[in-house]
Amino acid sequence: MMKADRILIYRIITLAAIVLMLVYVVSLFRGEKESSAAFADVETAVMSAADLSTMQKAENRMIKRLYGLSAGDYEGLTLYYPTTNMGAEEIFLVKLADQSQKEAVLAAVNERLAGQKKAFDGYGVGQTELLNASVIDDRGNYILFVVNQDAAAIDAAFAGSL
Amino acid sequence: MSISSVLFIFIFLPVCVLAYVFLPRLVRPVFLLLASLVFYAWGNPAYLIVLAISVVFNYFTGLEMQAAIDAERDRDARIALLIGVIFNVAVLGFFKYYGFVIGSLNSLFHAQLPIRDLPLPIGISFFTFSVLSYLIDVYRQDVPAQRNFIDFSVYVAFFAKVTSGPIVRYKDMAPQMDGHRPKLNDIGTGTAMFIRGLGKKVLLADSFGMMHSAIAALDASQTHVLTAWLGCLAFTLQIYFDFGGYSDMAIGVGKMFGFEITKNFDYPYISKSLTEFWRRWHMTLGTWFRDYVYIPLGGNRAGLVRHMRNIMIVWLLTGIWHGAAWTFILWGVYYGLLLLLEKYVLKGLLERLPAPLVHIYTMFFVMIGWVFFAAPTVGSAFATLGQMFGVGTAGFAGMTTWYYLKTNLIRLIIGCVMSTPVFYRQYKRFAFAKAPARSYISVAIYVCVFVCSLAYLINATYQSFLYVQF
Repeated sequence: MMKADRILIYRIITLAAIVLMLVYVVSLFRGEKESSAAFADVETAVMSAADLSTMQKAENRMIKRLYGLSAGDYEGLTLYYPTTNMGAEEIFLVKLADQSQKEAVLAAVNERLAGQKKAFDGYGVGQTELLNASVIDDRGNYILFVVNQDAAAIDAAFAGSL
Repeated sequence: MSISSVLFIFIFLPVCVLAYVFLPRLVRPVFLLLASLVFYAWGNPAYLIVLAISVVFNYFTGLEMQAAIDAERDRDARIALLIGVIFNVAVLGFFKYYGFVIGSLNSLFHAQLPIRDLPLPIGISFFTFSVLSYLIDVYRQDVPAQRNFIDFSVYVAFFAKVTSGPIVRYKDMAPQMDGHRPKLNDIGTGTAMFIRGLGKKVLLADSFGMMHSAIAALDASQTHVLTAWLGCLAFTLQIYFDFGGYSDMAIGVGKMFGFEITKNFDYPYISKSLTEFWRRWHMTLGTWFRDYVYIPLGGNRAGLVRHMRNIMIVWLLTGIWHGAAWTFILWGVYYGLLLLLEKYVLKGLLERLPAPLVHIYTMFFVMIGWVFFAAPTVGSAFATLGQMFGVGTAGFAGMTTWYYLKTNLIRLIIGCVMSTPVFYRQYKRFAFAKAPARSYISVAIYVCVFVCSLAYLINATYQSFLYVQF
């Protein structure tokens, strides 16, 4: 093979590697987008779409008890939980500090949901219906968990605020 | 995978060493490459994509340059080098600084540009600098391009050095890549070096790390001047034993496979000037910048102004290399200015001063520098510096000071002594004297360090290497 041909072949392979890297980088941006919306703005939008009369805002201690998560680890975290033991309504909103936290948060939410379903199973028909119709919406760096009769509207408000 | 993890120490490393020793010579490099890829991809295979593309790109860029040099086509060689340098720097820049740049733009212009949380390929700064040195050396005709793809891949991805260096030059490693069987003596020396590094990391660095974190978390009203200095001293020792320990472990692992990996630390805290300190600290990075940036820019031979410019460029780049944060940039500029001051103003004075004084001078500025390095933000760096000089503190010393001093005094003394060659020099004199019993005592000491390290390792949750983030 001529030396000029070899140079050309090597150059084509290096250019192919550059293209491959570009494709990889572009693929990283094609997944879910992260929102730069402020947590307070998203929280306001979500809560204003809900009837909070049957819920109360949780302190960090309660969040830790119910979900096992420390509020300080996240960029934003808020929980509204039922005012009575017979209530199932709940709104849990999290803004992740980084993507590595997502798995743990989703696991905590699913565990909470499974626990609630088990608690109301057999006697709380209405609560069980609400829990079965609950929404877990995972959008990039935000996660919303809603157990409420207006779950769809709350979720829409959440999506619109990001 | 971390080289200080139990999985690595008890399964990965022994299996790899045994297999490497008993495999046929021709198969050894292939095995080492596969082991390195498994090591690198452990926990997050996505990281492997960037490393793999980098290996392929740089291998063929080297061949392209070599073919152009052989055909005396200088322009083609230059174009290949240019594309190679731009590609590598762009990939490093993108993965490491994308978030920092967008974040800085958002805060400067009150913009809301979305930031993606991208995976940072582990060791990208280290392997990028390794391949850059390879390409430049091939272009300069210091070494011929590597024609064996496996050997080149092992040079870039060898698990002993891929995540945190040392930044090994291709020309230093190339003559050793013949798949030779490591000698028993090399495996023994490598094991001893690995244990030494493990001890530095687990027994010393991690405990200093906990001390520093505890002091850094104190409320300003609880902090005293002396407490702030104790925190700074803890970090000073932590970063030395952490990175120095890692380097010893990497060199030890390299030796077990028959490779001599370049030394990275030479007791930097005994330096009598900041210039000397940087000749002894992270030596492979320092020589990289010297050979591939400082000297090509003209070094100190192009007049005062250009020399000053060259120093500032090198130190700005050193700061940026360490991380995507203003604290690192400030840290780099700090050293650039100090080294200029030392070279042009203080040099004569430092030569006349008594040794203890110049040593205090060096350690004072090194410790101040670590404040920028350790702080999460520029604001907190200046807050800590303020505390070290009495701004916003509860006084010179208090109950917390005595608590931290009392509970850590022996550890601090051990750390200070171990950061000088005194102890190891005495140990060598003892262990290598012609008395058979001393060899057994020496082995017992190493076994003891290993067992204690393991005990800490299994119980501890605090074991990240500081330099892995770079």
